[in-house]
Amino acid sequence: MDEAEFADYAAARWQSLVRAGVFLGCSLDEAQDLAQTTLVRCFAKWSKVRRADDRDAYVYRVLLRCHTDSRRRRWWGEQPTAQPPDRADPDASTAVDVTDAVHRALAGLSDDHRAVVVLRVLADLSERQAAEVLGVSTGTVKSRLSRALARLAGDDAALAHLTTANSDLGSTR
Amino acid sequence: MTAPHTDPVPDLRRLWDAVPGGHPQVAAMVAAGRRRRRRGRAAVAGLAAAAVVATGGGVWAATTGGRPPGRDAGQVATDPTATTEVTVYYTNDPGADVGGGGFVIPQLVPRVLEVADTGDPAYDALHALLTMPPAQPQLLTGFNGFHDVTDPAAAEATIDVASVTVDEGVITVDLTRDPWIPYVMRDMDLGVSPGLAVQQVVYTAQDALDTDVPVALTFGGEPVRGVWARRFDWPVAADPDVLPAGAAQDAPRVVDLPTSSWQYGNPARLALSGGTLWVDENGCPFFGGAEGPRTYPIWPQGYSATLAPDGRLEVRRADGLLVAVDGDRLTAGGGSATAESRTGCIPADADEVWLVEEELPPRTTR
Repeated sequence: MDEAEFADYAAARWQSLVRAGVFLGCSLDEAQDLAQTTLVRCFAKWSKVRRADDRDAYVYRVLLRCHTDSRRRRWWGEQPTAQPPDRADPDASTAVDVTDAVHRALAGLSDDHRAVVVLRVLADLSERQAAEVLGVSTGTVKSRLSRALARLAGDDAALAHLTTANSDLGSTR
Repeated sequence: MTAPHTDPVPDLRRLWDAVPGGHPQVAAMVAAGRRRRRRGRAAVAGLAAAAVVATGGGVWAATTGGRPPGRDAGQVATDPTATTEVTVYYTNDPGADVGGGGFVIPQLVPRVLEVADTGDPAYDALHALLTMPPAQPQLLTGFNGFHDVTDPAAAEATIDVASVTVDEGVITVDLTRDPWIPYVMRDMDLGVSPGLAVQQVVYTAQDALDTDVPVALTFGGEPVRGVWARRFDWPVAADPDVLPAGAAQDAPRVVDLPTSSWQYGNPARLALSGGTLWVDENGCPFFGGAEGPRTYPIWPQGYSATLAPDGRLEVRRADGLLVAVDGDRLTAGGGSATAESRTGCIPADADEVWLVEEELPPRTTR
């Protein structure tokens, strides 16, 4: 049944989709809206999602398209549902700090570089999957990822943000 | 001193894991997904109809009096409460005051309406076109609002659709009344021309059936001589000049705007409310912000609103003048309304409802 299958999929991928939104440059609320919009669109075409050779690649492609669209629209132009999602972390300030640290650290990356870092390094998609999502060759994925990571490694300010954010996280645990 | 950092990946991964995603509202997403599916249903039904025509090889009746053939013989019955979205092609009013001494070029104006779903998208769309008055006063339907001076009993008669059939590359729309009325008197001298009225039917039928085949009008199964006093050679193809480029793709949907019986000149309360005008997830306008409490206005009598696919909201007064778009900051006199006053698209759990008791000025004058 579509709905049961969708529910399982949504529950399994929700965290990753929200995190991908944050790493693409959204606030946490925007990232949750983005994940929601992505999954609503996928549910509306669930039979197509099921038929896709690679379901995750299909869903991340929708997410990137929604992200691009959402930058052209205001938040209500998306498909938010009746209630905002619950937040697992009641300490909203921690969430804001993490989001802020992510944005500062990745500020020097282009959209393409951010996307490839998200897909390959963080969402653990294969080179072939990332290539399918981005609509480029696997060679392009490799070269973009290499340049993106090199840029981060050579960016002292970005590294400092990452280190500080992780230290802060460690001290709050 | 901290050792130089050369690999950002471990830190990135720790931050990734630290982002609190919350829990998905699966039920709400399923409900929103269902709404999204329903929006596409009319077009899908039209495609299915076209496919049957293409593969059937012979005559296929899309409808018979609004009932698809064979439905009584065991096909799935339609839920009487079901609704569907159809695109209806109104025309603009060439007599409308557009300000600045301008004039309106008569063209078709598509609007997406939510109507009763009989399971027959062409019938549903044409029935809406011919019998539902446009929500906005500057829009017109060409086939109604006439008097036949030779037949007083038929004063203000309406013409509705009896059936729609698709047969060998022609959409045949059978009407409930002969539109050949040479002695017709329209309510407005500057009413819709017969040619534009026919194009309304052509575009509405083609859109519903997702095809571009021409349209013939019949009455009692026989081709009509024409419309009003103008003869036509049936079938009639769509005239691209009467539709603004891209209009069909950009058709705004009509908002079920909450309105009251208050109108200019009635006693009015003087309390003020307002804020930035937003649109909620169901397309209903409210005052407030992206977060926090929402105040849903109940607008004065005759106000209407449309929501374009790109999210642009337009609210118009009863006289058709634009008073607000999304993102405007508005202040409106009036007073709070009770929960029982909720109407139109206002959700049942609305934080606050505000009865607007002030004729809002045209947007161009603010």
